[in-house]
Amino acid sequence: MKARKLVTLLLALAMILSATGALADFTPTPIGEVGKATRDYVEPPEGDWKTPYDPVINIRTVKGQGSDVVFDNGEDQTNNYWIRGWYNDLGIQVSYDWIDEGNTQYTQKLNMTIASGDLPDVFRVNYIQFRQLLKAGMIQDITDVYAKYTSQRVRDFEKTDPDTIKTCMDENGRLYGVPIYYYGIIDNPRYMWVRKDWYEEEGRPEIKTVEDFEKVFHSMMEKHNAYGISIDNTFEQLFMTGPMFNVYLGNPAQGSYFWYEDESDGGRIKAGIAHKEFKTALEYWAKWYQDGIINPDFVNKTQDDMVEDLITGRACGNPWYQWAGWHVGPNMVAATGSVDAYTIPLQFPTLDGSQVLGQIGFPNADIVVVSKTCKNPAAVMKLISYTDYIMFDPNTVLTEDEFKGFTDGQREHVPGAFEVIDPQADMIQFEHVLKAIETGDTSELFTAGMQKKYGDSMMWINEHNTGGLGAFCQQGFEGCSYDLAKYLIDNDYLKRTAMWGPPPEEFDQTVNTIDVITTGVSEIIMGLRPVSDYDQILADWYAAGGQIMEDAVNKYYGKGE
Amino acid sequence: MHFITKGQKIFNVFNYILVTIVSLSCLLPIINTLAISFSQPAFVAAGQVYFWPVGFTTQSYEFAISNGKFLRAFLISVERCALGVGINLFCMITTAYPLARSKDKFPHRNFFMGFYVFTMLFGGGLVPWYILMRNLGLLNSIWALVLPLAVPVSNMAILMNFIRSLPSELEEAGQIDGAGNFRILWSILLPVLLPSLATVGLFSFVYHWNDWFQGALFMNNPSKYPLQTYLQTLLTNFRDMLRQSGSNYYELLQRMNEQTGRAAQLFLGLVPVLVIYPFVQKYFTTGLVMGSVKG
Amino acid sequence: MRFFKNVRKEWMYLVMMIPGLVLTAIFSYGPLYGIVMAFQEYNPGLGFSKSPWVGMDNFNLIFTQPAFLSTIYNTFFISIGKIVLGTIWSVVFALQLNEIRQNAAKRIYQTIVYIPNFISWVIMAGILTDILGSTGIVNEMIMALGGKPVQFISNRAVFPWTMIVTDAWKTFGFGTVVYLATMTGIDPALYESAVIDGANRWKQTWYVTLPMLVPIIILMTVLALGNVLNAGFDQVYNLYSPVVYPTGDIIDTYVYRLGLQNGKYAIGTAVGLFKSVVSCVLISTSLFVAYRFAGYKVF
Repeated sequence: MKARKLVTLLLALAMILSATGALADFTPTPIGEVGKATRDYVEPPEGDWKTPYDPVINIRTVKGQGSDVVFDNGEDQTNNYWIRGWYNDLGIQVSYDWIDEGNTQYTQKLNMTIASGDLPDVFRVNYIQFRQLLKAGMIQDITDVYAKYTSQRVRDFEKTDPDTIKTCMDENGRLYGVPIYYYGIIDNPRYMWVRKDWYEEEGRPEIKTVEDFEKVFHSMMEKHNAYGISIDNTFEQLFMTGPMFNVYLGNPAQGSYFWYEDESDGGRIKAGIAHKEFKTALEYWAKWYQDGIINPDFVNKTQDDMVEDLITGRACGNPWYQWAGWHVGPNMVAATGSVDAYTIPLQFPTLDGSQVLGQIGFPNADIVVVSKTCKNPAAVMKLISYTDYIMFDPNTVLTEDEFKGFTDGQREHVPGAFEVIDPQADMIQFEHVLKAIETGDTSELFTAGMQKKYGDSMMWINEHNTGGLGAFCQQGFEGCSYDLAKYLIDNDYLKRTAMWGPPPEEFDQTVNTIDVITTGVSEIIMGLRPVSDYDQILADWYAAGGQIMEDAVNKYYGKGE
Repeated sequence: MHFITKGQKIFNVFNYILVTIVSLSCLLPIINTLAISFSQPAFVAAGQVYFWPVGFTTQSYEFAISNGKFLRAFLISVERCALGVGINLFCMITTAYPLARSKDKFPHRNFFMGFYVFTMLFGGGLVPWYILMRNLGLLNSIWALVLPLAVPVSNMAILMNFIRSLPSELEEAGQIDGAGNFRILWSILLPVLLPSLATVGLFSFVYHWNDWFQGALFMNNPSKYPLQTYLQTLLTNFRDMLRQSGSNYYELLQRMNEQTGRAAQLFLGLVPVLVIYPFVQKYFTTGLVMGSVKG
Repeated sequence: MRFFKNVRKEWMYLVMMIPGLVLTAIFSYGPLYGIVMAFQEYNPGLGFSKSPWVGMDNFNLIFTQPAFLSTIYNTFFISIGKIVLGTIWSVVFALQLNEIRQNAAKRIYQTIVYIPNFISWVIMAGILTDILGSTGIVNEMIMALGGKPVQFISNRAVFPWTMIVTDAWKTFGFGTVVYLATMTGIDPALYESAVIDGANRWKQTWYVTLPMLVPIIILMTVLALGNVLNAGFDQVYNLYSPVVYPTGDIIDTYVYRLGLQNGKYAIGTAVGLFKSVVSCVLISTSLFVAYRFAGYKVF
């Protein structure tokens, strides 16, 4: 019977182990110090937002963080410049319930946390979560604390972008969150990127009309045995060329549309794909597929393949975002060994040679909210203001050490939920960087971001170090992507979406509706169906949910019927 | 029986060629991955790397291993596998043995079998799972990764069928000796079960080793991530890195990129499996027989 | 009384099963209440008890999506194709290996063909698009033989077959190991008596080896059938494109695009429940068939 005893013992041991394992970790261990600060309500100190709490109070939060954030020796998420800054300057001890490193499961984990009911004091949500929390009454009205304890600069963001903050209010105009804002509309327009060396070989001809575009690209294609534009099978890039034909389209890979007011239909808001000129675009795309501007193999291409085609010289360029310089340039220079082999941005041409409009979507997607159980919402407002104070306020004087401490190694993203960004930051930064490059006078680079972009651009200009190529293509020369964007913005050559805010709730049920379009458009481009079939495809789209979306957008964003 | 005709000789040659071609086709992906992981990104992005590294560099591996995080995550994975495989094996044996009995000996057998088969088909989804973990206080604990799925039903069925296929004399001998069920299981069956246990143990090991999702979901603190979760966080950030302006990664990006990094990840993750697999494989031959002979 | 009599007979078994039963009850049955979500408009803030009930709305939403029915068809087509081809491939390869006399070689081949099982589909898809593209090595071979290039990944008619063949290729090593193991276990006396009856090697394979494999093939197939509605999300997701949606979209990829990434758990749960019920029917049927016609008990 010895063996039986042994097995019984093992069995019992396993049970005990499981039980103690559970007990040992009975409370989730928060990251950071807790307990030495109060969790009760503390009267916010008199004075402006910078006046510190005394005694120190505690704020709990969660964050998704890129794993590219690097800390100096001996420092980590619980002990770094930001944590100490909040503690010393504001009297606030910040701790984390959890950190999703890699930022892959943030939305998922937050949904779980919300479902479990144990919310942190402050956290960042998307619009879907915002609506759900508002409906469930789990977040608090911050109208008053926002007005009282947020810095003037942060409240002034509304002046640049008056509509965004309204999306964080309930129907009575009470504020329930602070929008993140992002870097403003300057990063919105897209461009036709073209290989610089090949384009110069052609003599840098002006490309004003679609005809010019085709002529120049065909000439480059012949010389280099390449096809024209490199795109992948999601249509993310091809749909960017819409403005060439006076239609504006979203990113079908994300199921998004561009909504515009149709003047010919009494200002009713419609999706870009319903615009009558979309058929013109389809005709051209089908033609491009036939004559080699579009790779006949594009349906097999992932985004990686698309980049590969550019780098290996199998394509002359492609439509892309303002940051293309980081993705393509360095690898192309390395692969070809030529410092002139990288892509530069051009404004899109149009059919009649008129000025193309920059396509502007609604810039905000995330909101900072304060849970109803948070005792000290004023502290949250102070924390939000502090990020701006360190990062964007031109009057803030930081020592060299502090600059590095706060921003080196991607640490500007450490604030997580408190990272509200000046919507003009990138525009102002670009103006100063370009000026400094042109004049050589670096005295007006007064934020960390400016110094970084300037330094990187100079790295390319002086040493042809490809590490600086991304910054250079974005900010470093006349005709760089931000320069083109600034031209569009300054002259108001912009096409703003009519859906200036988050998608209506009704959209949730119609995501796959875009499939009707992407499948149909693939077939038309590949010549499997005539362009005239598009009327039927569009009708199918309306039937599959397009009508629901169009009605919803008009209900919330229309002029009223 | 062993004389070979001419026809058989031709067949053998033909057979060898065919088998070799098919086997090689299976080997190519891994050689390709290995070559990519040791190549410079420019050549990889240019599609020049096939089966031999171009511009040899170990940067992708150094990047993954260079800091203490890798070793920490590796040890957590080892701990998880040890606990997880142990719990799996223990629960599978203690479940498979009774369930291998006939209905006469174990009248409620079918009820319990149904109890397990049901879990194969129906699940409650992530949200209640997470809430359960939280209420049990298992969040941020290694137990959250090893206690659920304690009985992998398909593997348990393999083991159960193996026990069923054993000659009944084996147990009858034990019963004549007056040994109880525990004793029969422990001293008579266990040694015989070894091949089958090695087989289902390997499956269980591969599952625990490769799973990254539970780690990302249930660990609050990145310092508790198992290896695959940690490697996953490294990779998903390459694209973001490119979008973010102002980073100190440019230097690094010239020496490695998403593709080379992913290839290195695959390889690092694969090494323990590849090391263990050949040792276990010899047991497969007997371990997977699963009562097929008996029918 | 019979109950207690039974318990007395089986108490040892019951005690033995406690750890597995307890853990399974907690972690597999504990969260089952989550299924109610399929009938709710779930709001994580309101939780399961307070989220509004919507009856069959989630199901209606899915089943009225015009493409959903074709995704069910695609799922079955691709899944069953994989089971059939995978089984044939593994059995044939195992038979081929069985003809090899050198044990070392046999073992090396087995190990090699098993390796693709360890490689994730993300990596595999990258390699396959290169190999199967219009300028890839496979098409170059086809053209060298005078054929026309085949759009393996972008041709709607070919795509499901590409999924079936590549999956069979990636996973046949597992089946091979299983079937070869079974073959090794066959009693040599059976072959000897077949030889006495004058059977050549083909006939031995046909009349001895294959019949001995039937039960294990049934077991593997039944286990696979429980999974028939998961036609391989990772594989399809990493290889498909809008142009092949009509034939390549499976339930999981479709639902994923329907917004699971946006935390729409209710729809995911509804689809999950639908899949569970269908799988339940399938697996019960196959168990019954296996028992009734092959006399083989899987569970």
